Amino acid sequence: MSGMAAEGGLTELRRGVLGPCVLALLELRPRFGLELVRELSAADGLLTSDGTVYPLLNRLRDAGLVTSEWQDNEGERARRYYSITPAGQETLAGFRSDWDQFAATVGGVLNHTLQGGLAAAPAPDSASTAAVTAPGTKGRRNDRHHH
Amino acid sequence: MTGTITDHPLVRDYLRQLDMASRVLPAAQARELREQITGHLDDELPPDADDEEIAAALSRLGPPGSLATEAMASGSGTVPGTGAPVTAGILIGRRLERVRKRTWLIAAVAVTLVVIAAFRTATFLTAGQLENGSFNYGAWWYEQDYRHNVLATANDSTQNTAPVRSGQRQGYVVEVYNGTGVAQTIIGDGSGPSIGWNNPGGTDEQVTVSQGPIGAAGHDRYKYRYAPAGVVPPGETRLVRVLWTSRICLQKGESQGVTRLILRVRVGWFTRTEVIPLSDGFYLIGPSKGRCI
Repeated sequence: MSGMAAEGGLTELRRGVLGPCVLALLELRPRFGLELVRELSAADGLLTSDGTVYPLLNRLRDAGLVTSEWQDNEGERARRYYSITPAGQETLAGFRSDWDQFAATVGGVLNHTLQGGLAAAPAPDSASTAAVTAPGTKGRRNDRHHH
Repeated sequence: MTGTITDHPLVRDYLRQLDMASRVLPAAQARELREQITGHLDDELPPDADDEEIAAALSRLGPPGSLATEAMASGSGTVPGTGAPVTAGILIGRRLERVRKRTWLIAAVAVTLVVIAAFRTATFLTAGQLENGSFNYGAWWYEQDYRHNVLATANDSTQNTAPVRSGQRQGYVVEVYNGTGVAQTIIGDGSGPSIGWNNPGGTDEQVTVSQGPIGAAGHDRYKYRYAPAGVVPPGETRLVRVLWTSRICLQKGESQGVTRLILRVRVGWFTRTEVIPLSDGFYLIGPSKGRCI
């Protein structure tokens, strides 16, 4: 896969997980827009541009997963705070469960440690090393580890 | 500096572009997005932030067109990663699945006709005018008209008013923004006797489109090459120039103007006449001199 194609895939992956990540942050406490942006930016590579958080928040709200309300704290400008709803918590719990399984599956495939399927191929240190090396590795031994 | 960060020219320009890009959104959605972005900038930047800090913050926000495109996605489908539906689209889809094949065919033909009809009359392009504060020049094409322009506000609308120069070429130029996801090709003047003209009263109307991206030559309208047709790629802006020979008969103090731009626009196989409202009208004011009609 070329670098550009990999980057495109990564962008799609980010888009896919950003909603649940926002819900997870709001699960801890209500937050305003810039707070969310800063926390997501701090998670390396999760946010491609700050502005995309706002349309996403609106989508989450339209879907009934978050609510928003204005808060006028003394000494600060009025801000719109976002909170997770019970439906949002339920969705997040479902995503967490799915994600754990999904991540384990993908990790298993990528690292050739999945039980059954690719793991059934001969071990890399056997005589048929080439049969289990990743495409493009030119027969080098695949020494990645499952994290 | 005593104002807020939104008074800064860079921020104003960004918000103006966002407004233009958001014209494809429902008004409430556009207002909300603008309020969120404004609040974000107010929170992130101190009122005395310098140009560099502001430019960096705006760059982090992303292009206004991308935000509007992202916001447009909220009208359909599911929230990424959550699977949560945001519209009744899925329910409608499921109901349609139960419709028998023949009914499907009839429905498909009817929908296609409606879509084509809507497409031919819908507004996909939006116009914004060259702002004196942001760009080097005003909205009138010729310098003498620009110099004599009077900006008047009436009933919440703004009018650019310049003296009529009877028998001479006059004209204006506006930015046209494509907020859709597909290229729109302006293929010419869409005005005519049945729909109205793009000029306040003249002959030999000529509509041309700037070639190439705006910004390559700044916003100096004279630095662009204009042609009778031009592509406006998604999320991009072009200048549309309208020139005519003024023939209108106006008494002293009497004025007449245009408040919309009518273009022929092609998208893929479709060609339609698009009527684009102008936020500021272009008015000529009398008295006329010489030959008029």
